[in-house]
Amino acid sequence: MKKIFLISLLSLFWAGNLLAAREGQTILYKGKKELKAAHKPSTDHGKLKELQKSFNSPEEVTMACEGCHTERHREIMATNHWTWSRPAVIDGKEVDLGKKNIINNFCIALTSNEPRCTSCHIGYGWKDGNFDFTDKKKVDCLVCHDRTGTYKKFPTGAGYPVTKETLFMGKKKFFPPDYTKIAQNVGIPTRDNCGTCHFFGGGGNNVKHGDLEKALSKPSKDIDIHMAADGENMLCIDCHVTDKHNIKGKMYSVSSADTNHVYCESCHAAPVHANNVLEEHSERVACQTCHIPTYARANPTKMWWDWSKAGRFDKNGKGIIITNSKGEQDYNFMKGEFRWEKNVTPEYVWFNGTARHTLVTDTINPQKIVQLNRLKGSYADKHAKIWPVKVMRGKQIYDSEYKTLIIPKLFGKKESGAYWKNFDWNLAATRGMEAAGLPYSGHYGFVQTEMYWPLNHMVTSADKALTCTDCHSRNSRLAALTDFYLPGRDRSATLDMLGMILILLAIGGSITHGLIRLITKSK
Amino acid sequence: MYTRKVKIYAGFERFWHWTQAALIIFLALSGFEVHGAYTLFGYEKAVMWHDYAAWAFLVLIVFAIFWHITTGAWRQYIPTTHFIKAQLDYYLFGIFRNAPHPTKKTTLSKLNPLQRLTYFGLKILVIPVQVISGFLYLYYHQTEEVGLHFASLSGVAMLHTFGAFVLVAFIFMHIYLATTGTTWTSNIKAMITGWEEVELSMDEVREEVYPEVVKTSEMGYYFLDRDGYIRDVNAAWLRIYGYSSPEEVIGRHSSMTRKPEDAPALREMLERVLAGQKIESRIVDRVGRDGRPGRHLLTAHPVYISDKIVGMAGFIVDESKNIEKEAER
Ligand code: HEM
Ligand code: HEM
Repeated sequence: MKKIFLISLLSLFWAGNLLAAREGQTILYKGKKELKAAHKPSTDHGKLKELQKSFNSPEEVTMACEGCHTERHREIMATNHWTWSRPAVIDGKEVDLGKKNIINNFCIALTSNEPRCTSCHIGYGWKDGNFDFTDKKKVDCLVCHDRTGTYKKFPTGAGYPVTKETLFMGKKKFFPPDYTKIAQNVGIPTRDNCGTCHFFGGGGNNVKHGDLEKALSKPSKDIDIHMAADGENMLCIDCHVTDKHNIKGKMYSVSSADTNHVYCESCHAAPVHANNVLEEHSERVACQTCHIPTYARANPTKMWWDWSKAGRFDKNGKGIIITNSKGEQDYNFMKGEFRWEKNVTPEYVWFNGTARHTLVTDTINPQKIVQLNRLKGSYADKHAKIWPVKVMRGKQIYDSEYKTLIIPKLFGKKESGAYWKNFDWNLAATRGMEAAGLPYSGHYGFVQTEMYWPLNHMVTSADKALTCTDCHSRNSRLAALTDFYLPGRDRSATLDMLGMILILLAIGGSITHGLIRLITKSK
Repeated sequence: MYTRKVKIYAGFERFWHWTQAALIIFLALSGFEVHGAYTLFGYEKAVMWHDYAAWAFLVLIVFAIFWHITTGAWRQYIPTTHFIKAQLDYYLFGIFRNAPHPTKKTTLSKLNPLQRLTYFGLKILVIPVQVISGFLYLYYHQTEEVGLHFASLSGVAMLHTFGAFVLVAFIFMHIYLATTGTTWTSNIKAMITGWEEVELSMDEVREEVYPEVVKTSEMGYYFLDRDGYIRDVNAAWLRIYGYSSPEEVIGRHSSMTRKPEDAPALREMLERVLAGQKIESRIVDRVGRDGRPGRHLLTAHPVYISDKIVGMAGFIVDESKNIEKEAER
């Protein structure tokens, strides 16, 4: 009997160790060879006669591309990179989201501010509501395919580069591009191409995402294990797989449906953990939660933006700018008050892959914090997982009578009524809402808003991932997720107290009884 | 006080007991780390080892159940209300006055009524609740897939935590109560070696002494069957007759113990006894080994088995020495 038991015990431990020893995971990532090779195009564009000439405008370059790559513009025009719109059916209603329509709590909205915002559009000349989305000449091939690193669109040029040397904000110099050289050196997009726009969203490095910034141009393994220059050196498009110019992936800041996403599981086939308990966690915990322990690890990201404080000038009438010791702007008279953070611990939410947005036409409750986008999900929702997010908070303008958010006109000439020239919120609101074709009561206030940005980049090496007690402890990272029982974090204080009393009674009783036995000298 | 050394815990019982003790203590240590009470093994290891130990515990329980059923030992845990008060009185008062244990321990009944009740509760309630809630905890996601719906893990976890507290309290109580045996350490030694000095009741003592007395008495004892054949004699009988081993007489006919002319008297006495009479005392002349003569005092009575007389038995006391003395006088 004893032997049988010992054998079963041993085999049990052995089986357990087998599980624990199951090392290594299957990675379905085949891009390594193919894409790294493809970084160099099969055609040497320098040898093409069509490109051995000088170009007077970027449109001429586009037409030269079209000469061989005919009909590619149709692909481009079908993508959100071109349309900036994402129609979706939400609660039975057709709603058009996308960059074009959405309201955020950075520079707020596109309408009436086009030339500034559309410097990141893959087209030329979207300077107001009349842009012709069918004109193939206007497609900007170079911003994605430039491999010289010299092609730059001017920040306020509605997507155009400059035609002569120009200073931006009196600081940064922009040069007219050498189109011939650039055209002869085109290739597939690298991290720098995507980064031109995606690292600098919100008007500066890492302002928006927190996990997308210029450090990803040549990151170390500590910053990003996938893109590490001294490691896998993956490109954006290794994960954001592209088919007919449609790039997989989209952000819940501008879209709501759970479609066309990139998943860790696309490359990392289950099981990925040697430990079964960890593997089971993936049912309710997104990979990102543990594997992105912090974000903005190289440079700070903006966490707070209070527009209500904008418009302060010193006694000489000069706009106030306050920069802190770390070189971050704490205040800018054009934009208001900021807070920056580096090495940020994410906040966590239940997220089932769908989001809801507060549209500019929606009625808001200004007594409460307005969630510009809301990630849906809860513990009870079996499709929801715990996700790490950057929550961007701030204050922005709203219509205090109609109880709607306001699209202000920020950018433009003084006559246009732009806030950045007149510092008159009422005027900016009137002009902005006019351009959007929406009503404005003439009364405004500032309301606190929140925006949720799920994190996907800056994945660390496995040894830097979260450990059990980051969540399973009294000071859990998941303190805000209170709709479920989390071992190690939760307990019933009453039960614990009763339990301790029970144990103390047992010990106390025994000691007392024993002492009496000793004193009365009974055995 | 009469005691006897008894093998009270079988090998498996001791193995089971100490393995169970080790597993429960380990489960409690790792479990309360999972509970967030302290850091000991490291959370990941605590969880992993708690789960392994849980499986080992389950295997042990299956073996123990098998053992209890096949050996019938399970009967010991059936609670009885007899003597509970006496046992309580003992722990509360008697123990301090060195009063005797009110209930006694035997291989068939090792547990006093209080222990019975505690272990019964432990085995029927606390351990099953702990194991079942533990496995529901372990396979929480799977139980949901099967369609067993719990509002949340919290109910299962609370039950499991409660059971854990009860078990820890039990360990302390139990270890203390284990010192309340005959001496402070006798119970613990018994659980290690399997042997214990067990108290005997007066009845047990009498029962024990009874056959012994006949065997070792200075009176000769005999037992004849209905046909007069010798079926049993004791050492004193052999000595009186001059034999050295029972083989020499057992199975032979009783007539060999008389002179031929005395044989009818023996047969007549046997017949009277088989008819139900008793012979209080009678002096007879015997023939010992090698025809050695002698005389003894004899008693005789019928031997009953299931109301039937199966033979005659009695005692003899040698009279030869008295006769010699008389002759001298
Ligand atoms: C949590 C752990 C323990 C459990 C669940 C447990 C359980 C039990 C059970 C069920 C019995 C009755 C066994 C039988 O006769 O069938 C028993 C007896 C015994 N246990 Fe434990 N035990 C535990 C820990 C310990 C420890 C740590 C010690 C010693 C330091 C100990 C010492 C004894 C002794 C001496 C007996 C015999 C008691 C007697 O006959 O009165 N036990 N235990
Ligand atoms: C076969 C028996 C058992 C099973 C299957 C089991 C299973 C589990 C599981 C699955 C957990 C959750 C953490 C983890 O995955 O490790 C847990 C927690 C725990 N276990 Fe057990 N366990 C068993 C026996 C015990 C025993 C005997 C004790 C204590 C004496 C105990 C005390 C605890 C405690 C205190 C917790 C933490 C509960 C909480 O805070 O939510 N367990 N157990």
